[in-house]
Amino acid sequence: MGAKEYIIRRAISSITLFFLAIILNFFIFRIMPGDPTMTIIDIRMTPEMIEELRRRFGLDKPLWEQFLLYLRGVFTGDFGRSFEWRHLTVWEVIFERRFQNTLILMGSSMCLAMVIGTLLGILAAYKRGSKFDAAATFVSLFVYSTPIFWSGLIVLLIFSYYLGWIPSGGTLSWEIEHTPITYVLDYLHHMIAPMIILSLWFLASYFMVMRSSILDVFTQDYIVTAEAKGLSDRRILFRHAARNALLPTVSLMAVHSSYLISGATLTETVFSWYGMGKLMYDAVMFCDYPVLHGIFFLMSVVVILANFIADIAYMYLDPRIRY
Amino acid sequence: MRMKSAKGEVLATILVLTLLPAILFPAPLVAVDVKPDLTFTYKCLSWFLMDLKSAKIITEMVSKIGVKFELQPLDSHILYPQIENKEFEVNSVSQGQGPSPRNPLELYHSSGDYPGGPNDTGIRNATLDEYLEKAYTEMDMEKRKEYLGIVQYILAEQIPCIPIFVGDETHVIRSEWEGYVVMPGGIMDVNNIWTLLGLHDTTPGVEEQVFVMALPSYIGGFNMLDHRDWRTWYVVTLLAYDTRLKYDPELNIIPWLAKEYSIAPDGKTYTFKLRENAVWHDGEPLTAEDVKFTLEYMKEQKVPYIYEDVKHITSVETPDPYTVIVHLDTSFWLLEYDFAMDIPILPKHIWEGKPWDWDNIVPGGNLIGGDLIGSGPFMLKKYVEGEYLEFWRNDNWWYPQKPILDKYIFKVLRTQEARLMAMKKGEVDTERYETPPSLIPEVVADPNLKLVPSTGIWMVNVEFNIREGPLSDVWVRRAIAHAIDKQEIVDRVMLGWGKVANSVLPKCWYPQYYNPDIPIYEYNVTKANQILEEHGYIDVDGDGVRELPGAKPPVAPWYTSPIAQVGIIAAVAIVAVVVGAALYVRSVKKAMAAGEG
Repeated sequence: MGAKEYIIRRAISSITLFFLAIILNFFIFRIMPGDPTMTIIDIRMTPEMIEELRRRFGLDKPLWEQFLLYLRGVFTGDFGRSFEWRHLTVWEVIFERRFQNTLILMGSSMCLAMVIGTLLGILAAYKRGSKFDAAATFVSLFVYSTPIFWSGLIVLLIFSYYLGWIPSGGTLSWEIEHTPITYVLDYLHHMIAPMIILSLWFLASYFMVMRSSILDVFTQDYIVTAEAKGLSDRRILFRHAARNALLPTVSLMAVHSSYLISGATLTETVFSWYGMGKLMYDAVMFCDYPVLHGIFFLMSVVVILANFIADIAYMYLDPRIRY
Repeated sequence: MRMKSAKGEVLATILVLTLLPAILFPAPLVAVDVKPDLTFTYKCLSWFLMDLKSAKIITEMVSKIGVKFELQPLDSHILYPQIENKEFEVNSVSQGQGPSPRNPLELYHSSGDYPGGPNDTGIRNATLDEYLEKAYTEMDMEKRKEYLGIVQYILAEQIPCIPIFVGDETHVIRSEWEGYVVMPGGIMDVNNIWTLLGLHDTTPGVEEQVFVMALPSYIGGFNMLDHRDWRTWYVVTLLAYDTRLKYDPELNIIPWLAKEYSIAPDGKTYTFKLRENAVWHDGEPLTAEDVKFTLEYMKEQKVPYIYEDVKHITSVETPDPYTVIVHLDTSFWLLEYDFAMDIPILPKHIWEGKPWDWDNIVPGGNLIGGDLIGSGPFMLKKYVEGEYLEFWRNDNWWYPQKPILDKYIFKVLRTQEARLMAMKKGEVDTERYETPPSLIPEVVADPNLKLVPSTGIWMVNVEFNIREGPLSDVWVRRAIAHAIDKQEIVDRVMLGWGKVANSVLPKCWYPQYYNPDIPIYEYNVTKANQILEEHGYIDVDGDGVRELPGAKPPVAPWYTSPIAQVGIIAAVAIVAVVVGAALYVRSVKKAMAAGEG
């Protein structure tokens, strides 16, 4: 089977998966307990008003009709009005600021984690059994298993409260007159702490995967061949071993891609980062179906696309892969 | 030899394992649980710590009188529908208190007892209904007090709910700030305009008076008629809008934007004389037309929350630009309170022709055209969604005294820890809500912070569903009330920051209406037990939970008698010995076979 045929087959299965995800997205939230109108209830709301709210939310229609409306929404790109942020449409809720904030924070910390984690993984594998290897493994696992709400608070306590280097939270300061340059600087100033915390958390995965993957590659015959050819250690490590060992890292990136949309609820809460993680949490709490549909639609698109790209990338990274 | 000893261990293990459950847990073999008994599901909010902690202690307390509460902490969107649909036996959901004494009318009138209705407990008492109706239409203060006293008496006697305590508003503010006014609800309450007027930074040489308040999350929107949280209400209604009347620090109603007002003796006509120098933030004059428009708009559009307040209005007259006469179909005096708090005045020139609909109030209330237009002491200057809001003092405000603050900033900090650190550091000056009691020692120890306690708005309240089952027996409810030590709950949950409540109109909020002669259920476990004994609630099966009157003691199944239990243990032991012996013999045979081979 040729590469082209493989890509087409993968594309078809991705699209099928996408449709399944869309159908599932509608039903999983309807199974969820709770009633959206009840989240805005007040003892002074009469039954007629609750009925009116249900009508405005479109919840008075039979389920199949709601489903059809939802499907229409998916294809016209209009998920309607949020139940909780009622003055906004779903896309306004998501794209006004939250999506950008999450994408920037998660994207940068994931890139940072990937680059540093992978390099550390290569080094640790090369010096396996050394003090460096043991220390790096210990530290990365320690950070990974530390709850973020705790480590985040410790970071805030030290760097914000005692040292005063970083702000207490948020993405922007009200004190600053925002020109494009001060805006970017202010934003970065706010982003440093959550970014470092998140990168350290992501780092462990990339480190461990790369380390074990390199160790695995080291047992392969072609490494012995390379050594026999008299190549330098560095050349073997980076040109021969690392390249082949990168494949699991690519898969890991595809897996992590959903974080780009879903954000990290705990980090966002601790650092008051106005992003998608907290939005998703709130939307679940308020039974805000339209917003949940919107977020999960974006998430399905990104995850399916990332996995599709990862599969294609495999083909180029590892010429042996042909299906 | 080694082989043999291993088999011995196996034998011993089998023996121990089979006998262990019988030795350790004899109960399941003995107890027979007789139902129905005084076991009730007990629902409360999982995230509201004051309720949850109180509920845990109450569960503990009632267990001492043979009543079992099975605690179910639930999230709001699951709990509220269940309570609305009366799917509960006991619940603990805090009641919000405010200057307006409306809770009894809304929560205990029999007309509110339908699925989705506000009468949760299901109390239907003709005398109570009669006095509720009388009390809330009575214009004479003395008679009103008397009727509300009777209402409180009946509710305490019938006890559909047990008021536990009103938590304190333990507000934390930075030490350099002075000029705040303590009121029930706190120094930063939605009714507290006085703090807003007097608050100032006493730091010597301070150039600009800037006050920063931390919010736990961003406000729900700028729309006056769609606010659902106290943040929005505080930020938008108090700062940017005006009401006709206001509360003074003792919660008496005083003229406000209406410089004088009168209520006809029959309570059906309100006449307001408005101030003549009031202008909207955009410079348009504020006149009687705006007031008329607002009331008619709320009624015509059936704006949720507010409609119930304005539905009694039949017509609004404006004989001149600064006089408003409101006619009601009944003398409903709660409206006077609503004019002081719930019903702001909207600018007619901006809202006219826009039906109350989410589509028409984007983005954010009357931000159409970019600005939030009210008539209040502060104007919205700048905001970044999800981050902060910046209000500047309105120098054209009509009130003779202007706020001292130049700017009022609201900044979102999501966690309690971050807010406290920011206050200690000086990045923010206070936070919107009270600081939890567990953090108070840290606040007191910090010279930069001070604690300003006042009566809070939440009253922990245990509600019974008295429609059916044992809870429909008033004696069970009374016994439970006697078993609850309210002061201990205040001490354990709030570390003492709270006031024990006995009435549905607690004394700390409504000193003028509180009836001190109502039945009070003092903490007395012996008495509670005695009441239950007398009314036939006996624990017949010995499981620590009382059964209903007339319950038969359980007939013990054959296997619970001592002889049968000895028999069972013996049988198990014999089987174990036989199996062990068989295994042993087999292993010896194998060993011999191996030796031969």
